[in-house]
Amino acid sequence: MILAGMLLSFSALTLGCVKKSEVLVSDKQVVEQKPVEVKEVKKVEIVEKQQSVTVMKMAPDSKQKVAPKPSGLGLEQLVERLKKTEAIGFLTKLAIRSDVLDFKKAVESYRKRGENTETLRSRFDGLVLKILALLEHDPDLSKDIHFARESIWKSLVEVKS
Amino acid sequence: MRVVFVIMAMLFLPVQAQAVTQAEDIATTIMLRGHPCGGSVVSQIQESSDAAGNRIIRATCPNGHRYQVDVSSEGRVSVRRLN
Repeated sequence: MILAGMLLSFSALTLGCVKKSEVLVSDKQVVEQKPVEVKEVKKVEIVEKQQSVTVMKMAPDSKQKVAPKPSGLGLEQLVERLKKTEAIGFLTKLAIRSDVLDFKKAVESYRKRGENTETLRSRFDGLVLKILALLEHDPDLSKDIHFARESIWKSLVEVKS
Repeated sequence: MRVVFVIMAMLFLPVQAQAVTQAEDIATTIMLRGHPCGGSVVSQIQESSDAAGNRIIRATCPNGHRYQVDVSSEGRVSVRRLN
């Protein structure tokens, strides 16, 4: 009897423990679920804020990209700066000079014969690209030449024709 | 503190043009004329000039090709391969 009573009490205790633990687990689940929902809501709010921030940041940059910089530099000034720059060596400068002289001859022949400007333009673009690539260590001059490209082309082809 | 200040100053200094060495200059000229060089610096540079004022420069590229750069008295530059 004593043994039976002990077994019954033990089983009752174990059942109670199980029930308590289940209750505890269910309490934890309830308690744990609530902050998860709160976190998700907070995350959504943060993402929305980040998106709004990125939009606010992008707006002035896009405006800066759209607005072109005025060149404000003449061909003679650019040539002088090319002569003075230390980003290009003496021999390379001479090589560029001979390329430019060849191009000038091509422009003169274009004026005489009235050839197509597309080939001349592609040659001009190639020459400018070469110079810009060489001016890797002088970004200011490179930038100015890039912005003055169209005015140089017009001065070469349109003015004297 | 001083070190941090110096590093910050170096970061915000404007980028200025760096002087090019003769070996780099010759290599750039060779590549500008459409010849392969395999590097940005040449070696074994030999210079000479004739009575007419033409300048002859011979140099070896990192890829083993040896080139002759002719600079005429008028300033025209031409490159030809020697080997």
